[in-house]
Amino acid sequence: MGKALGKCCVWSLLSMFAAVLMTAAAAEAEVSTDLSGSIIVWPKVVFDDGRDTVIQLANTSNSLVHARCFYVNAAPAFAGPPGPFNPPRWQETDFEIWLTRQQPYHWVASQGRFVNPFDELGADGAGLDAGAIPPVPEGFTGELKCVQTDASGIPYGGNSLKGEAVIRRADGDVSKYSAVSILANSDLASDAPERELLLNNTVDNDGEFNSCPNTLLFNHFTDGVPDPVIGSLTPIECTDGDCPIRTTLTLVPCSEDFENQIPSRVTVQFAITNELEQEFSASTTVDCWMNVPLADMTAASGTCSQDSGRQCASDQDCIDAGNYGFCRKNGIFSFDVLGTTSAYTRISPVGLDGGVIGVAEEKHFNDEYESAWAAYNLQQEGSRYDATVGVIEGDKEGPVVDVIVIPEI
Amino acid sequence: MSTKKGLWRWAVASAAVVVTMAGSASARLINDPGVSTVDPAAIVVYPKIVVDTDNGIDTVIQLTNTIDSLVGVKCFYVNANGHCSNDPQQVCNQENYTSVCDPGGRCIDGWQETDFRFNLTKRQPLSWSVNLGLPELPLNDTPGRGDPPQFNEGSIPPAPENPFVGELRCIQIDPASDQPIDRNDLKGEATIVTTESENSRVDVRKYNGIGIRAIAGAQDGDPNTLNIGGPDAEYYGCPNIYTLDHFFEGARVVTHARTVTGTVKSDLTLVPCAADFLNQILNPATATIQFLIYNEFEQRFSTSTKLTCYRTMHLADIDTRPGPEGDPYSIFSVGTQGTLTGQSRLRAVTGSGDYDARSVLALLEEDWASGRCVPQAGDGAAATVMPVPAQTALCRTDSDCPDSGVCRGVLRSSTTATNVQYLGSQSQGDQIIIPIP
Repeated sequence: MGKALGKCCVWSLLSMFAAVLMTAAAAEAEVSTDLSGSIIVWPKVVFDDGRDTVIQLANTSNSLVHARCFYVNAAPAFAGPPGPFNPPRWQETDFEIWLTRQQPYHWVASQGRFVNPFDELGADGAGLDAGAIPPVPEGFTGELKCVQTDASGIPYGGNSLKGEAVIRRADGDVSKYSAVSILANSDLASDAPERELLLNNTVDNDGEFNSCPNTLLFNHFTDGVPDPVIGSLTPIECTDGDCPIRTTLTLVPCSEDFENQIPSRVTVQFAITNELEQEFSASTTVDCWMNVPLADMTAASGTCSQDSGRQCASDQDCIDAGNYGFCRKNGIFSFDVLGTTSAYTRISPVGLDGGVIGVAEEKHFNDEYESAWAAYNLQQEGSRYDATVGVIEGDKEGPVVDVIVIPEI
Repeated sequence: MSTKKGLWRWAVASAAVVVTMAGSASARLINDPGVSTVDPAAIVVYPKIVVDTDNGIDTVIQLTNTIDSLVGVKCFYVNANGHCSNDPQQVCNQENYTSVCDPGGRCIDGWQETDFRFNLTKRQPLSWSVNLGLPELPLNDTPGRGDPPQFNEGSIPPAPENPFVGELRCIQIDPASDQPIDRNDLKGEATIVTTESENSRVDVRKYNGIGIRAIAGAQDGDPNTLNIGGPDAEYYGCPNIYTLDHFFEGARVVTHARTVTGTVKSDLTLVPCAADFLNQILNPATATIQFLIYNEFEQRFSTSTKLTCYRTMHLADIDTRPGPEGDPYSIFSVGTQGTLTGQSRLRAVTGSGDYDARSVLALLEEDWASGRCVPQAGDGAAATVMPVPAQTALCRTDSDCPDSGVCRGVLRSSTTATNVQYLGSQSQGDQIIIPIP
């Protein structure tokens, strides 16, 4: 009996060992849209071009949760198209909220949400008011970031927040994505200096917050490919550039300095593979916030699908000129270049640049120029911190630690 | 004697180490990527696939091999169509069977799998319409660029029935032996497109496939039975609790600086983690799903429902009869809750065995009103948009329109799909049983 008991103990212990090893092996993903976190990032918030954003934020814990939130307005500084003489504003606006246990909350970007205990039941503001949330100005395009804090405003690694965003067009079309959660190491999240949040927690390094991913995995339809459903289920002839699918990619650097209002800059490399296993590449620079249609990534202009002699910079140019179809560009992401319906793109920061996170949004057109948006989250691989350990570039040496600096209260 | 003492000393010391390690592991949380929509995985589940060509609906699947090596894939369509008890050819569901089945007929829930196999070459993305399938894969005959060159081998069948509602589950296998392997190299997305040519409308929603990750080195030699969590886990376990943020049914959301208003309702799709594709048995056990619902006043409500093999339902139909009649009395109704949004925690009630966790996977879809209110006198294209001062009323039915207006538009709703977040995994496991040739 004693022997049996001993064997039983040994097996139990071995099983426990195995369980612990499994936990360690499981710890691969660095940021997540599946789990609650301590930093929540909505990479795309818009009140522009007929679209507005509904933000959802929830406390998944049974304790009161405090959070500081930061809007970053990346709209051009002046009215008109962005360019070298009309740079983005990078204007930060912050506010505080308090969510009670398990409390869901929402607000609309264009309206904010004010403290009003007399909101009617079922009305927009009904519920326990979490704090005054300012509206964003018309033309806002940018991101929202919320950081869980304690009552004094010091970052707190409770991993209690989750969020979503719905982007609604005035005609009712909607798209929705989950906010990106950056999980905290609850032991170190409040380490001094408290206002500097280091994204350096990995399987191999005991840090404050989980590191950003090293590579984003981005499945997408090739730019301008005719929608395979519209083409097959309706009598519409989706040929010669009609019924295109357009994908817009939004990327945000993981590092951000809200204290000094210094925008971060990351150069990213795109490794693209089509369905024929052919490989292509491109690169671009993310300057604080990037929201670019794939069509514009490597080609500034093209020609209208119904009039090949007509130059265009966007689909709207062809439509406004008298319904000359859609703007066909020969960029690296285009259907004309890649030749297949879908493609797989790996997005990686170069050298010792910091990490990025993002979201993608597809716009499906029919031949009558009607369209619908659908947003989705990107997938990921590896850790930016771990991937740059020991890397030397000029006078800089890895690992890369992304830092979010929040202002003093 | 000394050996026994040594064994016990080792056991006690090991226990101390394990407790210490476990403590530090929980303190410095990295993630729990057992089930993930952001990481490549060994099993990719698309919980909702819809084809209904008469109504202009089809789903486009995207599946990608994220590594440089050849990857084998075995996929299973699960046809969850119900059929009338007195007319087996007639597709129905619990909401419409009284109108589509002959009098006296009931709707019998279905669960029928169709499987297929193919290879994905180095970093190859693949996409296909579920309605059409993909008879010829791009690299079936043409070699890929690898050395040695890789080929696709295989084809993808169309949906077995039209209309079709159900799920798709793809499992990474060894391309040589066709047996499941402990690799996590697949990722996927599904795009549900609705198109209507006469009125020229289009609606699209998209979600990430849900990945279940394999545990390296844990394959147990029984290729037919995949242990998802549990004591002999080959794959990480399915989630324990889902945290579902949603709008309450009928919530009227005002946007665009208070100039656009319209209602929203939601659909929840649940599929069991467990499946027996070998014996074509419905999910081995019926799960009870418990819901805890919090509104913005922090008030808590609860309800529950049952799930056997596949269920897609309006939130308001969880606790009321299928169909709109009882919706205002649901605890998911905005009229009951008083606030626009809520957070629901979903938990499957476990069974008693090691592999009877009865876990589920979930997907949330929202349906936003997008018809336009026009004056009652207007008809069709000649009608002008109702002159509502400084406010655009979006509608789903005439009752949504103010001043006795009528709702115009064939697609009167616009939809979204999002993956549902979760907390932890269960100690018990689930099993997927697959046929191996």
